[in-house]
Amino acid sequence: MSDQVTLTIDGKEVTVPRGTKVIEAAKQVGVEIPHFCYHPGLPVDGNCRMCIADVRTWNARAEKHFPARRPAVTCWTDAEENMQVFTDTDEVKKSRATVMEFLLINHPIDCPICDKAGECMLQDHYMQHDGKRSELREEKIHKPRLKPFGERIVYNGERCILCSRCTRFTAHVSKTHDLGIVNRGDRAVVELAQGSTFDNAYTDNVSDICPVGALTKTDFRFKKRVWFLKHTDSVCGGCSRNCNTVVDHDRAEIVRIMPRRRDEVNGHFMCNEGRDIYKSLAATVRTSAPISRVDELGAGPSWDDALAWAGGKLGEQKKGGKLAVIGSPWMSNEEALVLGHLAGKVCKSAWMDIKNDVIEGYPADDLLHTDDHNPNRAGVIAAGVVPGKKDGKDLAAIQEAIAAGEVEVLLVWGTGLANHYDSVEAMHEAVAKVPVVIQLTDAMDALSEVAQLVLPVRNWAERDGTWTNFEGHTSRFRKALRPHGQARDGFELLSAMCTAAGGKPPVKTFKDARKKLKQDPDSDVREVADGEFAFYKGQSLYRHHSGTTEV
Amino acid sequence: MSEQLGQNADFDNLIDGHVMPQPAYQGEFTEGEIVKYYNPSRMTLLEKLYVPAIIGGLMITARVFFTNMAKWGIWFTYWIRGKGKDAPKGAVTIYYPEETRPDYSPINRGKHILTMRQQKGPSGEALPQCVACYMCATACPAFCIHIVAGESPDPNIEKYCVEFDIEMDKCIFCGYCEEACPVDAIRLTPEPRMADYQRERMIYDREYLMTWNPTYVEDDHVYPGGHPREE
Amino acid sequence: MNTAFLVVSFMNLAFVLGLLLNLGGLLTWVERKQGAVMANRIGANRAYIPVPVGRDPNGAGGFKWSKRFTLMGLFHAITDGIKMLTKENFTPPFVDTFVYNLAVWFSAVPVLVTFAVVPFGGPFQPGVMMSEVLTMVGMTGAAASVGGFFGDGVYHMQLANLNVGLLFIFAIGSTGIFSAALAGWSSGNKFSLLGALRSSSQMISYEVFMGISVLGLLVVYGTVDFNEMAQLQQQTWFGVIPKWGVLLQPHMFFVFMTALMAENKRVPFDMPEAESELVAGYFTEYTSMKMGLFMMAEFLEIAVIAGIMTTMFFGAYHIPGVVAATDAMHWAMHPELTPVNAIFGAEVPHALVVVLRVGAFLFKLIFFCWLQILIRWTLPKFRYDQVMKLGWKYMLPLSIVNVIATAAFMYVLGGM
Ligand code: SF4
Ligand code: SF4
Ligand code: SF4
Ligand code: SF4
Repeated sequence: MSDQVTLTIDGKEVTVPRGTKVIEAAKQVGVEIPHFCYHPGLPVDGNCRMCIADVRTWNARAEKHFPARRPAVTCWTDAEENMQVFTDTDEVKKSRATVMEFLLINHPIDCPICDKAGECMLQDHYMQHDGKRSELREEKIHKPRLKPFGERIVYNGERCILCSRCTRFTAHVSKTHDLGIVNRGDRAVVELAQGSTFDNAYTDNVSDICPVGALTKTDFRFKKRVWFLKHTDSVCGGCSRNCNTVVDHDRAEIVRIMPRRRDEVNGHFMCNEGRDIYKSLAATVRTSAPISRVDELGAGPSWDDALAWAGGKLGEQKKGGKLAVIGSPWMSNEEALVLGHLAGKVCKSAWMDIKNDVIEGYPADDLLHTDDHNPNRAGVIAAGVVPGKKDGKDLAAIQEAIAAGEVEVLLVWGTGLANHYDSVEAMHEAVAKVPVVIQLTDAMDALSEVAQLVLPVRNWAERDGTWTNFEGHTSRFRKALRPHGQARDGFELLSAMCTAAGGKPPVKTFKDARKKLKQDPDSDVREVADGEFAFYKGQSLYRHHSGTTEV
Repeated sequence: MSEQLGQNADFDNLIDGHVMPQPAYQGEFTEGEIVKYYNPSRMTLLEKLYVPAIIGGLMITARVFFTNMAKWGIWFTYWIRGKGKDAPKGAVTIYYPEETRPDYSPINRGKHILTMRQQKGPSGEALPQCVACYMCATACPAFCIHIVAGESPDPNIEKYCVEFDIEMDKCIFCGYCEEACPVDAIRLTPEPRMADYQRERMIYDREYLMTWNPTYVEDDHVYPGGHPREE
Repeated sequence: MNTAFLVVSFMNLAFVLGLLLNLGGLLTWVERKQGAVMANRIGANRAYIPVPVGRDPNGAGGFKWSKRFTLMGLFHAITDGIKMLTKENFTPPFVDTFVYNLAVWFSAVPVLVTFAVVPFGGPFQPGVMMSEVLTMVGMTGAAASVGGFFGDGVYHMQLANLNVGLLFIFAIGSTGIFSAALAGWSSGNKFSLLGALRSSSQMISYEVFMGISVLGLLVVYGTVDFNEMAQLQQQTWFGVIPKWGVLLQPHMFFVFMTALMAENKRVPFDMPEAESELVAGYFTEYTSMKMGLFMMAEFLEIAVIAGIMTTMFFGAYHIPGVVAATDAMHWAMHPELTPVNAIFGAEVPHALVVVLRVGAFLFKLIFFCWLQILIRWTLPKFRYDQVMKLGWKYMLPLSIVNVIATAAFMYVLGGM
């Protein structure tokens, strides 16, 4: 028996590994089989009966296809050799319409006030597979509404279609067993387990996977209708896992962050901390133009003046070797490449290391979260900003040298240098001994109060780049928002600094940088997320969908 | 059959000197037929000579001119006696801010109103019918509706609008918002008078939309009983 | 050249300038108001003068103002003038300043100068007329001295009594092309240049047959002197039907009128300006009163065109049945009669005849102004190719045929 099987789905032949479900095989040839309860990241349950299709198995002895006695659920059925699947026969269509009719008997059709409206699978399937008016004349069953499940989730029992995705998530993915379905028949509802507060780090995923609007996030509740959102592929910087995300934003404001499927990195899910990261982004203090504290430049120098001055100071360090470079694990790989070049080739830096920008966060767990709260340490090191690259002179050596007054130019990327000192005052005292401190940062911190030159750069939501996670998988984030003030792209700014210091940037373009880093630029192709149907992609509902916003 | 389509059998309907083209095709469309519309090429020699046609046109406009002048003459006899206000004029237009028309159509699409719920909220406050579904904002081609949704004080309602601003200076009075609203919360009243001297005042907020006093109330739906915005 | 001649000339000058400039301003109002009445609208009515009607009852010493005194919107003409004069006189940096400023003068001056040869009343005797008037009001002494000052001298109610009248008009009128061409070229703007090109070709095309179209009439009249034309049109057929140009050559009346209107560049011939395509055509870059002069020239030209049409085709100042003792041509045609001032044979004072004739001229003038504005508000704009086609393919051949036919006719008939 070979590992591969070949079957025909709606006349299209497809070869898949043995054990693949028919619904997945169909996806590969572009046949979308409607479903509610099936989720590729969860164990199969097969309770919604929406994915029913006409499946005919091959009988090798009789050498013909046997018509099934009844239509089969494709999310449960393994693909078999020579199988024939028909997903658009009249019988299948009728079956789907019947399933829809049952689901909608007691559904409140709250769409105007339902946060899921616009990305609701029930709505989509109704439009595509049902489209009938309700025939029901009786009062609908009423169930608990506005029921909080912990701090972050609100449950509406009337909208629930009892697909059990949420309970399967808590049982099999987060393994906290918080949710379960109680009662029978039309009184069945999802309930919180006794004593559970539903406060683990992954609760918001149940709202994402809920095919309808039964579980809504308090964070996103009533905030925005989803069709106003623009979606930009991004990467979460909350920890070194680098969960792939979609940043949903409207009017230059991030409204929510949703996980994006990337099997080798995060699978289908992400943690709550990563979803809230946009709030910390909004809370940072930023500068919209370069700030200087040297007399030659004045308080608010122009970019050209600031760059020329910085280039001059760096250029003096070509032989001197009194330059210390402190990178950051928040830099993109491309920026790290240029910074490494600037420090090692254009100038001769004596010291080089990476600091810890963020030291607090969720503890590591065995699902997604790691204990490094910075995204790209591995990538930055791989790209050339190696701690103690020259004679092992690392951050500790830098601190010693600063204290001894040996450092002449200190080039720092990002925030959080004070994390390596006992207190902010201690850091200020030490840094005061360095004649030239240049900080390139997307947020103001204690160092920005004393640095000779502060150059604003764009943060991860405003620029393009790649991060590499602790396992070595590279993910790409894209520009979602308009840059703040005159903040410049880090890659471009560092290249300009190379030139200003009298050298040459290592690469010309982003693409070249990725080639040089030997990263596969296609390693992060976005899959169609679950519940997001190609059928609706071009329709007016998604008229606001425009992917990356180019300003 | 098909070559007659689009051609007009009785093109000689002369109304007021103009040839009034009849709708070119008035039957059911049969499949496969290509319906063509074109102007008749039946110009008489007199029309082709152009000058007589121009003179004819000038006669029409001149006639309108003199008729109106005569009407103004009659108006003048009223005006000289101080009764100019009620006198018939030689124009169909009016001196707008001084004079207003009483005869706007009841289906005229004018100033918006937010309807209210009959039941008051838990603390006796008036609640808008609106459930903040953003359908109107989505349908609005001028992007002039701005809503902020919030948790309603009435738990049975769940969602309602905390803020509801319409930029009336952007609004094109298409009525799509009214069409889109699933709960009949927004309506365009026939009220046509909205002019103002300040742009800021052209942004109507939720309170004003709920409480301004429409003159035209066409049914007994709950309209607010407040006062017009103070001058 | 005696003093009396100078005085009469200045009187004429004052009359013509007063007439034209006021008419120019007034026509801006007529244009709006007539358009409005033709379209069932009210038209300009907002500009007003507040009139004090007494003391303010509640204010301390202030005035109580009447309701707005709008006078049918007449003040719009004044506000227009004030606006034009007080707007910033901006010269764009990219223009050819000298030519740019020169073009303005070419627009208004030729128009005003053309009117010099248009007779607005017949030959008259100021001495006789004034003494009659003064005697009537009882100032016999003044009557005697004024009569003595002017004597029996016969003068023309016309600024310049040139015997080349019509040729003068063609000569001066055609310099109007310079205005559009220079303005468009010097503005350094492609819209202006397009407007200039269009206006040049349009005006030159229409000037060709503008001249030819009246040749037939000239053959009939046998003169280009406007005064003589006016006198000739006093003749009648069978003693009742006046031999006005429009009855002699009705078809050429339309052709000539079309040509003149095309020269004026107004709707339906407003290709050079064409707001919807060329912003404002050749005067896009002009501001304040410079732009005002271009506009003014257009309205003045309406009046001038009306004057020319009146003189050539509508018997100038002539009223059928009214003759003056000074009408040399009339009495030469009727040797059996004695020269007197008469209305249908009844003798009347000279002053009455003069007043009637000036009145008649003004009436006809205003009628033609009205007619032009009527056309402007009735006809839609032509396409450019239609303008050219109309000119070269219809009007020009028609004019030429007319000249030949008229000449042949006159030859056969042996005179008028
Ligand atoms: S779950 Fe879907 S169908 Fe139900 S109310 Fe919400 S949007 Fe509408
Ligand atoms: S709450 Fe949502 S995910 Fe959970 S059972 Fe109901 S419909 Fe399914
Ligand atoms: S009438 Fe049209 S333009 Fe005005 S608010 Fe409603 S939808 Fe928008
Ligand atoms: S469509 Fe109606 S209910 Fe929805 S937001 Fe607009 S006014 Fe409110």
